[in-house]
Amino acid sequence: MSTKLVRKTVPLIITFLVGLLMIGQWFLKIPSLNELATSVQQWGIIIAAFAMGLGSVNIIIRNVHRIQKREGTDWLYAIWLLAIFFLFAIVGIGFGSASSQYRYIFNTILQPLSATMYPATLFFLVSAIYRTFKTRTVEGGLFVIVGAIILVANAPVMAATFPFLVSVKSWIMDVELTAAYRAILLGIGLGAIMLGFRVIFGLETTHLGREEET
Amino acid sequence: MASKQDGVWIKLQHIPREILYLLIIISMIVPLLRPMGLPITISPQTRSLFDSLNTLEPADVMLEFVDWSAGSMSFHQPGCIAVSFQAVKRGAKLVFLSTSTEGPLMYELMLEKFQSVFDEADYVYGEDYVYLGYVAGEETARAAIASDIRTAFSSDYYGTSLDEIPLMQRVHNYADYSMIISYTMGSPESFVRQFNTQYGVITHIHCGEMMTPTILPFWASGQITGLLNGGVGAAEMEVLVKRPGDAVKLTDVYSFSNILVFVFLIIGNIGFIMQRRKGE
Repeated sequence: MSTKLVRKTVPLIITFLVGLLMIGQWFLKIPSLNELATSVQQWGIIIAAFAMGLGSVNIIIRNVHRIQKREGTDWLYAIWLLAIFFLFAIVGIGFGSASSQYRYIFNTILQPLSATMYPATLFFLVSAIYRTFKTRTVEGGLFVIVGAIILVANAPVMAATFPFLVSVKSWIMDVELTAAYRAILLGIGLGAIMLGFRVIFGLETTHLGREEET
Repeated sequence: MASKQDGVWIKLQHIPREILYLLIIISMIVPLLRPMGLPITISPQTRSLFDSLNTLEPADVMLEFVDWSAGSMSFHQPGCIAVSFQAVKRGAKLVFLSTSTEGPLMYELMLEKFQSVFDEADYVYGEDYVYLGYVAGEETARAAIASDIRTAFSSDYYGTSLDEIPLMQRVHNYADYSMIISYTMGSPESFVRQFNTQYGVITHIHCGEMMTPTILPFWASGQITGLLNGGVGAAEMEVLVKRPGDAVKLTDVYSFSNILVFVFLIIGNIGFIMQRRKGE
């Protein structure tokens, strides 16, 4: 078989058929179609599991290249990344992810680091809000006022002490924000439908790789 | 950084970040060391979740997606514990599962704190609650769980076939789920799409505070029945179930840190407006 047939035509046909199947089972409640769609979902889960393995291999290859090149200081981080990667992989595969050994390294390495990352953003947020939220224009002023109301109303003690703040916040969130975000969601939805049709009909082929490679 | 010659209004806008950071640390540590038990108001979204949980009957099955990570454990775990506590109080059956990689470990850490509740309620693993483990695929997996849970899981987390687990013998698809709740920092709207939009399953979400504005339109439209807003939402749920825990302890921190951010926002703007008026 020619390269083009294998790398482009066959995937496009598969995409077309699977796309039609998934749309069809959503709108037409035909039992056999639903069963087929359920099988496709199952394949999707299996492929996703394989993709995680592929991602792991990709991480190893990219970081080994980085270490070989030794450019800047990135390669030191690459060594550290691979060391931790293999530590978790060996302990996880060797003893199982439910083992006390795996839980020990998770609880003493990953959990404290992850738990630190999230609250650490507060420091940068406060600094950024303090320096950039300025009433430079009328729109900027409105932005500051709304931000300030939401901030204060989100503090449980302020919400309990000044109940009217909750009403103002609710109005902002339920009317202003919801209206604006619904417009965004509708835009995203319409865009997704367009993209879906383009993929199904083979007009969008970026998921097959770069043009010169296909 | 403001210099010595700068006016007071310019200096107000350039408080050194070291001082900012120090004040943030103080605002977080002091309430943790000396909790003040500041009052908490219940939001309509949390109240709606609580009311929905109170409709559960002993025959009902609730799916709980343990999809949080260590980063959000401080509020997702207390939220899950409070919600599960109320569900157990109602006698409902609980099916825990994960569509994020850290889920299994998060479940085990949660269980360490929650096992006593199961024991007190005489809940038996496999009959009253079960943990299915992790399945890859994110939204594809969620869609599969909605249409047929056996396409996503053939056994529970501990390797027992689903058909051998008494509780799972009557749990197959969306028709068997009384309600679902997702504790996630990822894409909560995918649960709305796959469970509520397609099958009409009652859907609850517990997400991070920065995600709440993106999910509120679904609450307003009724596609989400209950919504817990990060740590504050978890604390509200703990208050509603009358079981104050880790989230309530953190509400003083939320109060102090939010007020601190507000104060700096005002200080920065006073400095900016006055500087502009005086033409400095």
